[in-house]
Amino acid sequence: MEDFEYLQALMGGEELPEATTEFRDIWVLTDGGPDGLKVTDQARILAEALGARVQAVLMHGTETGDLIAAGADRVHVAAGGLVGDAEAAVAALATFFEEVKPEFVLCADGWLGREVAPRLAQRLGAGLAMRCLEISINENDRTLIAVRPVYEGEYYEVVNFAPHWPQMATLITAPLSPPYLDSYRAGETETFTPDRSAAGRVRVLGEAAPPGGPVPLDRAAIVVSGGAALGEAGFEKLDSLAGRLGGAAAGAREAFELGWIEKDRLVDITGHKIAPKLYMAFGIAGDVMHTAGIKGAKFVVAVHPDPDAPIFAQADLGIVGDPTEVIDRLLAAL
Amino acid sequence: MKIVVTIKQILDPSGFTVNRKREKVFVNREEYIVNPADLNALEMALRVKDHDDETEVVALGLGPPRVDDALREAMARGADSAVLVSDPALPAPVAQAQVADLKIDAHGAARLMAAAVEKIGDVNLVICGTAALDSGAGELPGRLAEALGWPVLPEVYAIDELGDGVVRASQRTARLEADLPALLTVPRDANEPRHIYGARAINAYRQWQVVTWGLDDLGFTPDDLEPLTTVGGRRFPPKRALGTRLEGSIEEAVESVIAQLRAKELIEG
Repeated sequence: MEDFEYLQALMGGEELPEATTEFRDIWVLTDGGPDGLKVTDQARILAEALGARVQAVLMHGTETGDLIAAGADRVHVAAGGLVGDAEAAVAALATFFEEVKPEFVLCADGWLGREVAPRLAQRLGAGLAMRCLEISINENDRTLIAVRPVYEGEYYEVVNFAPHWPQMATLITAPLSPPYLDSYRAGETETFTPDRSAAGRVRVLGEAAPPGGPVPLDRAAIVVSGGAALGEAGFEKLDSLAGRLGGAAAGAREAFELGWIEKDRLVDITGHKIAPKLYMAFGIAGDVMHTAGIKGAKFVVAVHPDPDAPIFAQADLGIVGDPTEVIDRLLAAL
Repeated sequence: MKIVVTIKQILDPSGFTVNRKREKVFVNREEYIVNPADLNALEMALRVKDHDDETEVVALGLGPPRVDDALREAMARGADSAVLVSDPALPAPVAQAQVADLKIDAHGAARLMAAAVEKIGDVNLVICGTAALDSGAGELPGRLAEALGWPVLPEVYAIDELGDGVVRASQRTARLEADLPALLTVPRDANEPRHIYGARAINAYRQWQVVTWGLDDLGFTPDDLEPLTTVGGRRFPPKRALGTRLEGSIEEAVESVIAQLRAKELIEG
């Protein structure tokens, strides 16, 4: 026996303790999109360590091939689909999971992660870690360990789960590498009829009127800003870019002095000091007065024709070139 | 119409700095603020009250006694009354920067707050900020709605109609309707929260009282609230790297910018 353990240790085959509860397998919720494949890929990696299977619930469409290739051992297709109506999806998934008793439930951050996962977790009495960057399994007791950003990514917190199942997590999929698709992998497909008793609790009446007025500068997550090298004509394009990105348009001191923007749109140490997630500077040279105003910005993209413009020292990404041309190309591509 | 607005008190992010190199969070000034999106939620409720004198707005908070301050701020801004769920058995759940304090998770918080909404009684609408600035998750509103058994209208920018047993509201792109009672969430850019009125501020801080309910009042014991998740430590993102100058044609550079911004989820699509 000792020899066997030694051999096992030598082969690196340290097995996790077997599941001691009635809860089984890693379940992935997906709308059939690429994010769901990335989550399935992550589930496959965890499942190998756990000695569990990966089961996917396909909530939109019937295309199961890629899910199986990405790692699903069994795909449960929700007949008629389950996307769009969170009320119906939560009720149907709760009924389904109460019967099949999942050990873990994963999905991508997005509609499923934000509007379905917290409510499903409450229904199932499950712990949940939302918007995780990393998930792993605690080797001692098969519980989940999740790492997730707090204060908009200032730092990360590690979330531990109590030994109580199911355990749920939603994943930020953007940083995950593309899934490994093995087209030779075999898997089963089943269809189930979702419980639709809660459908129609929230009803869509139609399209909303476009939101009125520009987004206030100090609360905008995205700020696009112009300077002297953008030119007055470029500021109209800047407004459309801001609208397209759901952000606010602003300007540097030169633009204010030239009368291209009002004072309430001025980003500068004497104007607004802002801390958006994304700041895009078009044709702003970036003197100290300006960079002091954007010190809190999480990610800075700078475009300026002068390769020696100081703004590039503050930028995460820089393009040397004509700012108007870059805005045109951004508008065409977004 | 009776509207409950949930108020979370969070550690002021301008009071601490994160040193990624030394992997430490330095709290220079331990000050607390009302979660910004909760002020937008409060503003939405107050706009209903502006048009209807019968409307009553109740601010509801959860946490240690210091949350009293956040609730007084809500009253100073216009809430009619405030309820704090607090109990010595529930040590400080809100300060993200002090992880060891977290003794209640969103699962328990939702159940407690649902019990408080029921105890407040005859509530037609609960309005929550879409997400808290500290956790950034937006876990509580969905859990609270579920604990109440109510439908959710997420990311609402404006209430269009309220009454006759239904609420109609606009999101950024769609208009939705649900039967009352219902829960709404409000994002940070939905409206401009109003300022504190001077006279109200004096009353709110000197005269009015925040009603405090403990676990007993809501029919819970600490054992009922055993957390399913706990925060077990911190990690730090890699240090900010020096920026990249994109080479090649403008066309390629723009493509690369869009791809990188999408990968970092800074822009949608």
